[in-house]
Amino acid sequence: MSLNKIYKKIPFKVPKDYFESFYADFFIEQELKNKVQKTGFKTPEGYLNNFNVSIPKTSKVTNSRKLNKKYSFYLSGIAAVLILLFMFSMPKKDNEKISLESLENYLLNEVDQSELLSNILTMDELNDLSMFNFSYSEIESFILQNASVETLLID
Amino acid sequence: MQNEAKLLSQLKFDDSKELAFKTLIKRYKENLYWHIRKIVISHDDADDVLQNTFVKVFKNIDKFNGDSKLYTWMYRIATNESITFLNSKARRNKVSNETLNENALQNLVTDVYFDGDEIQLKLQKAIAQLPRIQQLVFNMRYFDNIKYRDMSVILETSEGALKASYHIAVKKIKTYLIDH
Repeated sequence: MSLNKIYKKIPFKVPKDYFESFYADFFIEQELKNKVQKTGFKTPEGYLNNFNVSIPKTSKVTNSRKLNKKYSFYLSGIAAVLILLFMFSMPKKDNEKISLESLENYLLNEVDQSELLSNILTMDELNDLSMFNFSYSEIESFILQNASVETLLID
Repeated sequence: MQNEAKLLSQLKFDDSKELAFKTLIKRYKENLYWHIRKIVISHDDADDVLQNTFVKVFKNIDKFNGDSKLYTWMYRIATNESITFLNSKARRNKVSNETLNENALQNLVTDVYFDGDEIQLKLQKAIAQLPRIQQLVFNMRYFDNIKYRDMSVILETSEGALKASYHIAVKKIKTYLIDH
């Protein structure tokens, strides 16, 4: 059987003008490539040879550090709320200025920490905190060591 | 030359990661640079984006699961980094992306790191007229001869759509060059 006969039997069709547009596209591209093949961009001399990346130091965050981070977030929040509660619960006197020192003293000596914590945290949050087994005095010392009252007031 | 699988496994172990990463940079910096440069136009911007790209590759190599080729994955990061860079530059300068593009082309005339002739400058202007996806496809196909199959992974678009984009882009560029 001749090739001509085989071709005639192939049942496939192509879209109208497929081959014409195929050649047209091809020649347009070739024509373009004959005119321009490169972008014209260049680099400073030796740039690519000397290129290097300052590799970021891999900081492995351990689980305990992650927990501490999470915990310090809680503590900062608690401290901020404590201060706000204190400010709103203090009787207002005209022109009376509260020194930061008296604010700290009040927080340390007068406020019932456990009651305040239970007021501002949900049971789930308290349970979450309780798994760390931190005492209130530890929380308190953490706040005093890690957060300044000025910063917390600003926050 | 180390094969890709071996390099990849070295990149995933802390002991060999840094050395393997240096090999990775050496192997791909040039291709990635030119890919980025064609998108952001200026050398300084390309340098910034190339740095960001490699830092991102380094940070995310553990997440690369080997579903695609390493180079297509890196090209995808480079493309996304370039586009993000241009968008934030436009926001920072309080101009549209089109204006940013026009400014970049204007600067090209006096750019010491562009030594193209008149037709090359015209071609860059013609490419800049195209929609972003057509620009990407044209640059990747015309200058870098990247296979549609790989391009499809990089740009997350079907091969058919990419072929169509390329042919439309070529025709538009031809028309632009005739008209200007």
